Amino acid sequence: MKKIILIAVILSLTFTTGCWDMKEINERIFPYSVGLDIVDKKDFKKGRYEITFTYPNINALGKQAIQEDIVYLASIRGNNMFEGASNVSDRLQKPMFLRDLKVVVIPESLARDKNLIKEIIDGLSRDYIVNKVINFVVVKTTAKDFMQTVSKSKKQTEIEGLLYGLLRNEQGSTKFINSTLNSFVKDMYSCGATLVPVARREGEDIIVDSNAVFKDYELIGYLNQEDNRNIGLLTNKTKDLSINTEYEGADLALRTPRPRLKKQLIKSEKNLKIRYSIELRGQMEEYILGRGDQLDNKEKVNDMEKTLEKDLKKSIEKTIEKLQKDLNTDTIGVAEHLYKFNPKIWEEIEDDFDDIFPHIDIDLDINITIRRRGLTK
Amino acid sequence: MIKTVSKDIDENLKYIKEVLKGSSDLVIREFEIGDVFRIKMATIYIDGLSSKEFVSQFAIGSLFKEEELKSFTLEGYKTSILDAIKKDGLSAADISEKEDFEEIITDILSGETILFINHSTKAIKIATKEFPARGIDEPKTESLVRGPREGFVESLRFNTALVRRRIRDKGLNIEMYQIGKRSKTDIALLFIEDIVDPKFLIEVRKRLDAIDIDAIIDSSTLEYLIEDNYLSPFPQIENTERPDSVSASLYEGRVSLIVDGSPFVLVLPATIGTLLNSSEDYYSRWIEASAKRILRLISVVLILFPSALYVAITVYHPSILPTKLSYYLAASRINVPFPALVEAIMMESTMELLRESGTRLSGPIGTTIGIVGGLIIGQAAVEAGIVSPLMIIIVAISSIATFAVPSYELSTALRLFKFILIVCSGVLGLFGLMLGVILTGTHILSLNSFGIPFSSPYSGLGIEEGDLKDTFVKAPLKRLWLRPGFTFPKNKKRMKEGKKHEK
Amino acid sequence: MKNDLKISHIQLRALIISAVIGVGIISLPNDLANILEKDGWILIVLSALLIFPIIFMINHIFKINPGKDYFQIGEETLGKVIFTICKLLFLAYLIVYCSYEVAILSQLIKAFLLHITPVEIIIFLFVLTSVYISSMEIDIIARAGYFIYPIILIFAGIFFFISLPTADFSNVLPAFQSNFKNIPRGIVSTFFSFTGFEVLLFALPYVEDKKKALKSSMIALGIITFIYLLMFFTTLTQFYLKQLQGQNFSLVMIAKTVDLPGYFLQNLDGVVMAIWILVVFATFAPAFFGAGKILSNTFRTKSHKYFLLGLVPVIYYLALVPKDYIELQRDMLKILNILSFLSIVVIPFLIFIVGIIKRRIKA
Repeated sequence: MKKIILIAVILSLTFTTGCWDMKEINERIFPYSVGLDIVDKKDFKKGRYEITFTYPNINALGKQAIQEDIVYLASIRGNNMFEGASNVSDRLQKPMFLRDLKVVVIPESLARDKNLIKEIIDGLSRDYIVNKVINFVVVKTTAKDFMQTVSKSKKQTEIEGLLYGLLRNEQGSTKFINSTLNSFVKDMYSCGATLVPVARREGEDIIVDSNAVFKDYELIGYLNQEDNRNIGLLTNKTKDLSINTEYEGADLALRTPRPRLKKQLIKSEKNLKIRYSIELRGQMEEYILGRGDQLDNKEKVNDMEKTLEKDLKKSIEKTIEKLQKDLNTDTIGVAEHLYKFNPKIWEEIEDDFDDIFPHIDIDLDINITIRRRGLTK
Repeated sequence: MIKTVSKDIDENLKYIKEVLKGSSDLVIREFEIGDVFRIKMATIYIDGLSSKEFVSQFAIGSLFKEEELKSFTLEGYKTSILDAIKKDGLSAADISEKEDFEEIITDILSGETILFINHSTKAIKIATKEFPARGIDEPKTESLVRGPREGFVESLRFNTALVRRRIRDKGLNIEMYQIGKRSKTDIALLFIEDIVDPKFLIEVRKRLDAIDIDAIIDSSTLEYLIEDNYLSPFPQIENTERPDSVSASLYEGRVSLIVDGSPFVLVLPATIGTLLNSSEDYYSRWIEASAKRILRLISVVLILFPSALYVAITVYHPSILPTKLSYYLAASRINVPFPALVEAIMMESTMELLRESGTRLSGPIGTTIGIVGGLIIGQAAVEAGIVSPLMIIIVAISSIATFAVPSYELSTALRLFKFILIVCSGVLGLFGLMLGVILTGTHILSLNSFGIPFSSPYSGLGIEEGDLKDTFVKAPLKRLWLRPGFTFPKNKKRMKEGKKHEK
Repeated sequence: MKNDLKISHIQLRALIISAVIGVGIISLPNDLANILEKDGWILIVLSALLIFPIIFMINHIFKINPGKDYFQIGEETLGKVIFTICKLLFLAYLIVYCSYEVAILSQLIKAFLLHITPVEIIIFLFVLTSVYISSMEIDIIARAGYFIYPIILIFAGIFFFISLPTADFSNVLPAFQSNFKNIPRGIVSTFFSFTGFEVLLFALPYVEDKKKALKSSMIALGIITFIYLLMFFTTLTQFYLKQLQGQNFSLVMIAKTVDLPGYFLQNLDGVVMAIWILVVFATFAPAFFGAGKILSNTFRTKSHKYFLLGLVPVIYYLALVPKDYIELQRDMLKILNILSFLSIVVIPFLIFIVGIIKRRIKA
């Protein structure tokens, strides 16, 4: 009897006291991207940012869709993203729930401001609700302009948003290197620099094809597709790679899934020397008709491999020079390698690594093998 | 004061008529035999409970035919008539002497025939019990694909015979009890002496002796009188209609109670493990049986949780869902006017209603109700937009799952807890759900069935580490060379040690 | 002492594991990383080695006093007055321990599951729910432990497997680069992760197979150490050290950063929190039970049920005393550390030593 009373008390207590958090799923708005634009200082009263959210129009989804616009856009002023999300309640009838936020759009002007980026990163990491693998993307226009284009884009069929779909698709291509909150923080701690993809619009299309370089939470420059591919190789982030070169007047293309990378410190005196060994084994994608017999000749094949190696090496060296001389940023994991595998050396150079990095000798050892040659000779 | 049989037959008959004056089905046949000296006798039985043919042929008939009796003198009659009748006079198979009227009346009421002889202080009881009984047929509630098709019937003796036929074991004990101060119902306690744990047996006997009730109509009455926690919705005693499953459980060191008048035989102790087992598990190949057992455990989860999780997640934690699913869910609920909690309780109650009305109607109408109700109401509710389609799917799955649980009582209890969990999660989301799980779990863990944890064999008591051979999987028979440990059997071995035996 | 209660040695093992692994596990990796960087695992191993003799000692106490429970033994060896003080200390420890657990639990539930629901309600309902099981005897609690033990194992296993795809094993390096002077300070704080094994004091007298009890408790200690190590290395391979040091609840962080192929399983933090409620419950219930038992023993009552109901407001109040996270994690933990050291190390040690001396004198 006592048990029953106890259970009844607990049940009735929960009944009468519960339900604070009750909010039906269709009574919430799930924004999937947010853009932050800095407003002029004169306008600071209403808030530092013009915050733009895009969210799916639930009424346009599913079988019983009664509306057509898939994506809605809401713009609001606020001092930070979270304030923006709650301020939105003056124009939307439902509260925002930031859990499914997938993309943060950062305009270039904001990206140049170190403190603001630090604030944003801190806010996102600290929040209990926000996903920690939220993606970052840099745009050269204002975020609001860009997001308006995105929402009107014809390819906006993906339920979770076109932009997110594009960024997620990074696996297949080597055009850009994806950046999430988690990787951003991790890179900042390990190398002091990270790459964030840059999106632009071209007509009605959205294109993500380059990366912005952030050093110490500040945008300092851009890298093109080729650089991205090379950095992807040097940091072992590439999963599937296509390389090509001109060989005897014809285009020679090779597809190499899962490249292998080895880093090694080979000289630790005055001038540090680090060797990056990259091993690529792949399948011929395209050559030219009628020269099939060349592929039976071992020397010829070796020569082809050499040409590919040379080409790739040249390209990578160019990227490394850019990183060392122009940008002075270590996005290729030199510091991390030293810290993990040569902690004693790292202790010595840790404090003035910025001065040392441009002078580190990076030795490339590329090894390409043509394993398979396709269905025909 | 105990009244005994008096010498005067008329007095005896008068007494019986007095005691059973309201019984119009009482038949008293008075007759006299003997050439030299007429001996007055009378048979008494209840019409319908005793075989009339048997009484006329083997009691009265044989007395009339017996030559020796006819030549008795008064002297001989006074001294040895009783022995003579017993020796020569009656050709019935089962007879005994009775003196006590209390017993005699019970015997008459249970269908025996009593023979009174004038001048004798003892009456003779002739076993003539025969009453309308259903023939043995297939058990209605537990049908199997493979396995014996016999089921218990209402008659106690048939039932003990069905068990005995399967076990020619000298250790098989059948202890008889008469319980019910007025109904005097026969109850048989079956166990195998050298297997069952004596402590357990003592406990069962103690509880049987402690029963104080006027009548026991069905085995369920007995069940509710001897179980440990009568407040709990969980059955702590198993019931079955299958003699084979009773026989098998006797060999697991369990005990069975047969109640006269009930085709449902009680088997105890019942634990979660035994309630989730079906006797079919032992008649099918081990892989199939194991898969089915795992499926049944999953179905327990499916009864308890889907609706509660639906409520908790859609109302409190949409963040748990993958983004696409949460968009889909939001879109499907866009026109639903009720909160998810109301929606869930409404649909689950409708399902219970359908089930209840289905069981009240037998045969094709019952199934029609199920189909019509399930299909049409579900479809109409979704069309009308008052219920989300996902809710219908969830309710359907969880109600199908209830049929996968072999024990009806267990699935009923689980359904009750399902509602509690729905309410808990409707009030406090996942936290509430977990509190509900803790309360339910505590209740299940606190239950005992005659000193054996109800949560066995998952309670960790009486079972060795890693011994999952007969729990949520069923190992091949050759590996099951020990009896299940949770009943603490005296004799553990079933066959010679596994590995040696396998060759 | 009731004779019809029995606990098997498997249940004992499960009980210890589920009673020890509790609130601490969710923040253990970042605590270790803050003290000893990448060598935090040393602290786990060292603490386990320190616990080892204590468990042995407790086992020994019950071995030389067969058929008696902890209170009888304590009273006989230390005398009534001294042991009453010991009991009060123990009681204080258990109550503060319970309060600390629910305080942390309510904080996290508020953060991850119920954002608006008042903390008071969460604490109150959780404690009230636990009254049900804690009002039973130790055998029921042991059964509960046996049910939650596989949940803990699966919990740990899931963490390990979901973080495998993104794990970077080179993060474990460089090894042995930390400041080893921090070890003593570290052990003081990791020792707390191993408290909870005092449930032995209540469970041991009822264990059926006394010979296996010691072995079982040692295996339990081993499994706990293994789970802690697994969790530490899982988080270490997942995050960069400085990132890890900056976190408050590393395990939740893992759940929030995993990205399984197919993207069906995202945002596991809600699920993790839900399972974690069960894990905390399994540490809370035995401690709460212990507190009730001590009270009922002190006041010589048959049942400890009503004391538990009386303790509900006490725990509720104490859990609300720390105003912020600093008070909770620093001040309350400090008190708790002292109390736990006194009541589960010093007192059993006293009983052990006095018991041995008394025996010597008798002989």
